[in-house]
Amino acid sequence: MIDRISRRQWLLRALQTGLSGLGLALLRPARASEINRFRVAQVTTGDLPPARPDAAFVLAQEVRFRTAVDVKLDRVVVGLGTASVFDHPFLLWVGNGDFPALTPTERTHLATFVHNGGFLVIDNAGEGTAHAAFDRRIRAEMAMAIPGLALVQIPEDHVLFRSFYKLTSVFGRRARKPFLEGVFHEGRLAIVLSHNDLASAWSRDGFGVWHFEALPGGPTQREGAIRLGINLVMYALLLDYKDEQAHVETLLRRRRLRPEDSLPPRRPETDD
Amino acid sequence: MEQTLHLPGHTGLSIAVVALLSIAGLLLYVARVRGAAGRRDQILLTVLRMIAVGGVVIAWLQPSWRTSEVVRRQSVVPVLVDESLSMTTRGASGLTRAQAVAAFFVQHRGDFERLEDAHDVQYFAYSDTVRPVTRQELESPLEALGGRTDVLHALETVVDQLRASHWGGILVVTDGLDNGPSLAARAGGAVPSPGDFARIESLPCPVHVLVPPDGPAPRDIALDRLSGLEYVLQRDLAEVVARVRTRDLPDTPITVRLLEGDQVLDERTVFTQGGRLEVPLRFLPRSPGRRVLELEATLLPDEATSSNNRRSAVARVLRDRIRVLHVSGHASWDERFLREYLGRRRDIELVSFHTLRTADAVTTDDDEQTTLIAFPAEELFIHRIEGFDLVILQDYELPDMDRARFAAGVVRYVEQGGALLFISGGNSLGARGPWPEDLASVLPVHPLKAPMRGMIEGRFPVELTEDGRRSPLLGRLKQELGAEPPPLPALTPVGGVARDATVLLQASTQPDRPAHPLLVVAARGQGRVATLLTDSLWRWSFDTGAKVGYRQVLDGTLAFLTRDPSGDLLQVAATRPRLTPGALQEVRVRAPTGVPAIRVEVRQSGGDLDKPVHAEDITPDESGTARTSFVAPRSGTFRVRAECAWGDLRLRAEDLFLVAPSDEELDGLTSLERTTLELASRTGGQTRSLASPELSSLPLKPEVVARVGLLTDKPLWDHPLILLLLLGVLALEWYAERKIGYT
Repeated sequence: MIDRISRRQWLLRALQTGLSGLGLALLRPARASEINRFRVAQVTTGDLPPARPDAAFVLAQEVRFRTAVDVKLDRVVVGLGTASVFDHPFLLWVGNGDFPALTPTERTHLATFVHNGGFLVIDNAGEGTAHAAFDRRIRAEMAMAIPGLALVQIPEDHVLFRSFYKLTSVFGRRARKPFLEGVFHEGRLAIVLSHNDLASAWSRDGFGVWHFEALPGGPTQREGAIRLGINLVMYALLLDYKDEQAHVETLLRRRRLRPEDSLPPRRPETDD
Repeated sequence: MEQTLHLPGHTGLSIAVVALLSIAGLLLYVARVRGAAGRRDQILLTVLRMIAVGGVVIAWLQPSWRTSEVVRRQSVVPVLVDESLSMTTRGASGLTRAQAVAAFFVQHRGDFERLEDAHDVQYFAYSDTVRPVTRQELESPLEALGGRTDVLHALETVVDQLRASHWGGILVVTDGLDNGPSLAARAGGAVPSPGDFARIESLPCPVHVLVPPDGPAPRDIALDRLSGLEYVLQRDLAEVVARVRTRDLPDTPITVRLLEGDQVLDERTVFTQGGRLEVPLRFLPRSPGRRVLELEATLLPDEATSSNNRRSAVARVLRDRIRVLHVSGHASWDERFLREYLGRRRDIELVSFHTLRTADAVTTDDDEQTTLIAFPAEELFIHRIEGFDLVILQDYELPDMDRARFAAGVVRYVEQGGALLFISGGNSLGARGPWPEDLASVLPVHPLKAPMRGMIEGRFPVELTEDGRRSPLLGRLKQELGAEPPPLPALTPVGGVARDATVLLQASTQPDRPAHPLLVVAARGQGRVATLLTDSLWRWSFDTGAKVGYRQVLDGTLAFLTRDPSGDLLQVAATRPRLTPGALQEVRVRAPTGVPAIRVEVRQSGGDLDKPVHAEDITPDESGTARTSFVAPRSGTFRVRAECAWGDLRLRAEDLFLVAPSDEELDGLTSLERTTLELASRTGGQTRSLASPELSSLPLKPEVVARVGLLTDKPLWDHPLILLLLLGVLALEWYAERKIGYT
């Protein structure tokens, strides 16, 4: 099922997209170096074609529309077994069923990617048994590739849910599980595993037509999925910035510069 | 030569026995003739018998005149005169204590001349050291500059120097203030050690103490102490309290200033209310390490002393966690890996602001649905910037609105000792808009003559410059990265580097063209700046082989910017931050192992920098540690610098210490009885005022006379006339008795 839109709506969206692109081109005459521009690269394993190939592009597009992140809009697909994964610190891995076991190189690359600071979003876009098969396989592969790091449920109060939008729940095309799972490495969330088919919620064609219907929430649920995607990107780029912002008043006044400055209670120097 | 009466072979006892027997015999004789003759006859007979008995006794005693050679040994009387700083205190008479002492020596010139005739008088001036002087010198006021008074040490030194066997006594002319390690402890209320009293009591003779005649002048402003310097944090408002003591100054305005060199850090005018005042003063220490601060109070024309109106103190500014303000123009991988690096450093307290959405965002959401906050530019760049040890502007342009004020705030922050790291990118340093001219005075790079938008992209091999190789900050980078660091894909084009800037890293763009600066550092005012001309250094952090190099570059850059002493390969420390003139200072140096020699030089701040007061080459031990010591020459602030060569690198380190009189000397108003009571009472001496005219009445032990040879003995009893006289007396007595009829 796809969301049906009228011809007028289609024309408006196409105009909006075109004007946005033109506006961006005019407002952003210069940009960061190519290497420093943000890209959403989709990662594949073995010889499998990428699932939901439009999702990464749409997510990048939405990041560009809604934030100040300098985004390079292109469709990048990299094989986990290739060195190209190390050109893209943000990878999207969309699975829609079982997949062949990872090669040793792919496992090594996955571990290196995580240890060096990369951020991997794994989205289970499978339906029914395919969903379960992908879930089983991905857990097994992660246990083998990064044995010391376990998948855990991401707490509801994690900064991921505040990194740009205030989110109170997780979204996707489906509403299978009300939580995300993730792998933490040195205090940083390095891998996020979504069970709710985020990629399908993001997928649309060049004319703005959504490929899949978001169920059961419809457009609101899709908007939630897009916002979660924005938050994933912003978390990847800013880490715990929003946690720090919560204490910024205290941090700013930690030191007195003038007699009238009020002194907040000094935090004990602990390991927290 | 000396003539004495000699009675050979007789002792005092034998002479006494004979004398008693003679007297007894005479008394018996008197009793016997009393009833037998008239009064005149009694007297005559008694006199004659006395003469006869006397003659017999003389004959028995056999006296003689002995002429002998003698040596007179004068007793030693050292006179010690206090020349410590407290002697400059003015008394009620208007004279300083030193002037009163000089007047005393002039007034008692004759007494001292007589004293010198009778004793071996030696004159000394002392404070914490002792030096011989002449009496003529003492008739003029001594230049009282001694920073500390240690009378016990002075007495022991004099006793040890003179090594006399016969002491007449010791005169000490002092105002009584003593801040030597022993007596000062007692005066301060601490429990004195029995050893200190034993030292006093072991002095060989009584110590007589002469003190100035009058107390200090009534009017005085004294800076008692400066507290609050024990725990001062860098870039955190320090509050110190100056305790001011005033006398005879009701409701008078006085100004108290806190200075560092010529710079007034704070100033407060208060009104005296009699007695003590506490004046709070504040300053913002901008860099860690030792700082010498001066406290200065109003000096009135007729004060007891001027020395207590100024006081120096050493503040040790501690490094708190390094506070970093990280502002980026947009979220990016370069920002993200830098943020991760900063977050991992436990010595850094990070405050960051990143632009998450700009006005040109295509889609805007209700702010209630986002966590976006307004960027507090005014708060950061005007009001709070001084609270940061380092400001990182990463591909960030200051807000257009009020940009000039914000830029001025950043420039002022750097020039006053702040640190700025400018990381370029697609939005800054002319890549998107004009060159930031308002920051040009602090930036170490110049713009291109022909502006060019964007960055240069390609594969640019990175290398250390000659300065980079010699720099301790990045000296090991090449070892960490191997022979060839990974090339960087993007550079920000600039027109050149400032003349006083140093390029540490550079990148080659084309083989036949000059290398492009990559990391440029410079000092600006009291602060430091660095510019990293790429937005792609994060590639090193995302590369297993280069992530160590990424950390190394940032570690070195941040250490340079924040003047982190802990990372210095060469460290030097003066062990005593404050000491008195003449005291021993020890300097410890720690160098990398393998350094053969370290040059240590001590120079006075503000003095003749060409002439070190101490210079020495010292050799470190196997652990790289070396020590040396020297005598602090005079009051002032001194810098001790260590320098050595380590491979290609030239390492330097510096520390600072203060040489100043003790606070009690500066005060000058301490009770006169502290030292005098102890010394005089425990040695059997006396305490006198200089006004007392009876100098000659001091109980000094006299000279010793020693007989060294006998020349002649001339008998007095064996002259024939004495025998004839004795016979004549006996005949006359016999005749008189017969004539009187007494038989």
